[in-house]
Amino acid sequence: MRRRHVAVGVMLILGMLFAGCTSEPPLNGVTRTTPLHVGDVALRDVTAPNDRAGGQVDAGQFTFVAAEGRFLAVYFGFLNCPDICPTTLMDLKVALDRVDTAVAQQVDVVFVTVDPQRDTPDALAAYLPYFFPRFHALREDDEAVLQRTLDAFLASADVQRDTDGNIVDVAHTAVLYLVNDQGDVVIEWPFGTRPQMIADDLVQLTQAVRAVAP
Amino acid sequence: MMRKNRAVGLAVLLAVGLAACGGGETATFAVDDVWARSTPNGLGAVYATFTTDQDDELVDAIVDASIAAVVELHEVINDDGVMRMRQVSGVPMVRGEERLLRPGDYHVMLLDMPQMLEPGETFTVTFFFASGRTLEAEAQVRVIEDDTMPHGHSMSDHGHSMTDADKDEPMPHGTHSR
Repeated sequence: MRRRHVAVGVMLILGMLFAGCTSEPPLNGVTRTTPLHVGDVALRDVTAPNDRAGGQVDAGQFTFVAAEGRFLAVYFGFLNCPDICPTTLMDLKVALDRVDTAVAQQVDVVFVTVDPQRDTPDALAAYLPYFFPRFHALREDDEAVLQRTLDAFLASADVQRDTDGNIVDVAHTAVLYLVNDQGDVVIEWPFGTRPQMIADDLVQLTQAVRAVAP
Repeated sequence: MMRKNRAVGLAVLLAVGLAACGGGETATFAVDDVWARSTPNGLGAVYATFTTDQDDELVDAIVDASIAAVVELHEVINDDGVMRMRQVSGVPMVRGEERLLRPGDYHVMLLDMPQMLEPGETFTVTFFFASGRTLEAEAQVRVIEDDTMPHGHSMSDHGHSMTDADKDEPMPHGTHSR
């Protein structure tokens, strides 16, 4: 408890120092000095063409690189999840609803199921439109390929089965990632980040891209 | 006679003092801010804020079968950003302390829901306690936690209402910096 207070204090001071250097308020999400690079991994995209958001799909494989000047909002979850996944998906939806259309349209939503056995393409297609008009539903049966993707995000997922092979529990990293057009994770929002905090970060990050656009 | 009166006076004073020590208004048995949400595949959750005037345990909850056929109590375990859900037999409550059922924490899970809940609609939830008491409340359907409430029950509001030190560690992994 004490250590956390000190850490929070240091972060606040650092935040104030950096805030003094630029006109931008500090971001709410977590950023890294060396961003995670996820642009070298790809997963099978099972999205119907009419539902599909922007992004690179080549021969049914989706690469974690946003289209030029755009971002991917990436979440690893599963449909049989009443609390964590809908909370974050709804937080993202509300954040996208709150920002200007121009900002929201710069973000392509990517949902990766960590439970491909139960989350069939049809199940994903029936579920995701409730949250987002366009998206990428990624579903990979090959556990090694899915694991490689999770590793790139420093995420983890664990599907536990009973002796009959029935899925009894799914644990997963509950972080929302924003990936840029270089395939780098520019910010991570931990579970529970409020929609307005996500919205404020999106405004700032998308403006930064627009500012450098020709 | 005189001595007895004095004793009664002392007892009254003590009682008033103890009531003040007990936190007065917080030591009531009540539920507040009951809300719920569902997903297109027939799952849902009910969240609420409880206070209790004695140590107790929430052991069950029921809703009408038109809302959900199965109701379970669950908790979420946050292991360094990796979330896992598990069914629990009860949700402990401590006298005078708030107990939040909220996203990423304890919650009432709804299963086999015949239809999706529409934001704005309400339905009755009855909560059962180990003490034998019950609380009944109207759950309001919402899409997210109310983030306009001044005392904010959310996890990232710098923990005004944080009771569990593990729940507000936002760093999922690795070393981060601004």
